[in-house]
Amino acid sequence: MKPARRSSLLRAVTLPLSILLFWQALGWIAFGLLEPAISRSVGSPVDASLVLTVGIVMAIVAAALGSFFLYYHAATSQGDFVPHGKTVHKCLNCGHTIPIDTSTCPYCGSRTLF
Amino acid sequence: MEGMKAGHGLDPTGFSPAARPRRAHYVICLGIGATVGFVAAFGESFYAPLAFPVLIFSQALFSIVVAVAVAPLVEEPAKSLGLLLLKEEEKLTFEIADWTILGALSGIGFGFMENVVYALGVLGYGVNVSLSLFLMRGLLTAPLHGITATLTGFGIGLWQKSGNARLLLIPLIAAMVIHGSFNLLASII
Repeated sequence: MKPARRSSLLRAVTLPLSILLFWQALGWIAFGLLEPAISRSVGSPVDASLVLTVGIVMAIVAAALGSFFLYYHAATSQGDFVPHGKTVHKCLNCGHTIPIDTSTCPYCGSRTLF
Repeated sequence: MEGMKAGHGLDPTGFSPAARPRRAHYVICLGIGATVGFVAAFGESFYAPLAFPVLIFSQALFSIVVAVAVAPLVEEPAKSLGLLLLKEEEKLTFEIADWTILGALSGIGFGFMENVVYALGVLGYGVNVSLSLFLMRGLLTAPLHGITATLTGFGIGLWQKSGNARLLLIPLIAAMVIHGSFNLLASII
C-alpha cells in the first residue's frame, strides 16, 4: 500500500512556478547570448563574458528551482485552508493565558472561565 | 456572468463549493494584466517622481531606486487588478490553485505587453535589435512577471479562503522582493 502523500497548501503555486522557472531558464541563456549584442547595438557595451557567466549560473539556479517545485508538486497533495479557531483565552480571575477547553485554571484554581 | 447564473463561483459567504474559472476569467486576467503592462512600460513618467528625494543624495542611485524599490511597489499590486476584480467585484470563489493560474496569466500578459512597448522603443536601432530584445525579454522577464503574479494570486486565494486580507500581504511582499532583486541584478550587470 502506498503511503498517503503529505498535504500542503503551497502545492497550489508549485506547478505554475515550475513551468515559469523552466521558461525563465531559457531566458537566462538567451540573456547571456543576446544581451552583449543588443547593448553593443544601442551604444552601451557590457562585459560579454560576465553576462554569459551570470546567464549560465542563473539558468542553472532557475532550472534547479523549477525541478524542486515539480518534485514538490508530485510528492504532495493539495491541502486546503482550515481557519484556526481561538484555542486560548485568559482566565478572568488571574489573567493567565490557558487552553480554551480547560475547566479549571491551573494557575489560580478558578472555575470562572468563559 | 454565466458562473453566477448557474450558482457556481458566486459565494458571498465563502462556504459554497468553488467553481473552476471559465475561459472569460482567464481572458479578463490576461487582458487586464496586459493593459497594466502597457501603462507600466511608460511607467517611469508616472512613478519615478516617487523617488525624487533620492536625487538629493545621488543622481546615479536614482534609476536604481526606481527599478529596485519603486517599480515593484507599484507594479506588483497593479498587475493583479484583474484578480481583484473577479474576487471583490464579481464575488467569484475559486480554489487557491486556480487563483495562482489566473495570477500567472495576468503576469504573463503584463510582461508581454511591456515587452512589446520596449521592443518598439528600440526600433530606431534596427529591426534585428528590436526582435532580439523582444525574444530575450519574452523568455526572461515575461516569466518573471508570471512568477511574481502567481505569488500574488496565491495570496488572493488565501484571502478568499480565510476572509483575512492580511494573508495577501506575505505573498505580495515576497513578489515585490523577487521583482526588486531581479531588477537589482539587472542594474548591477
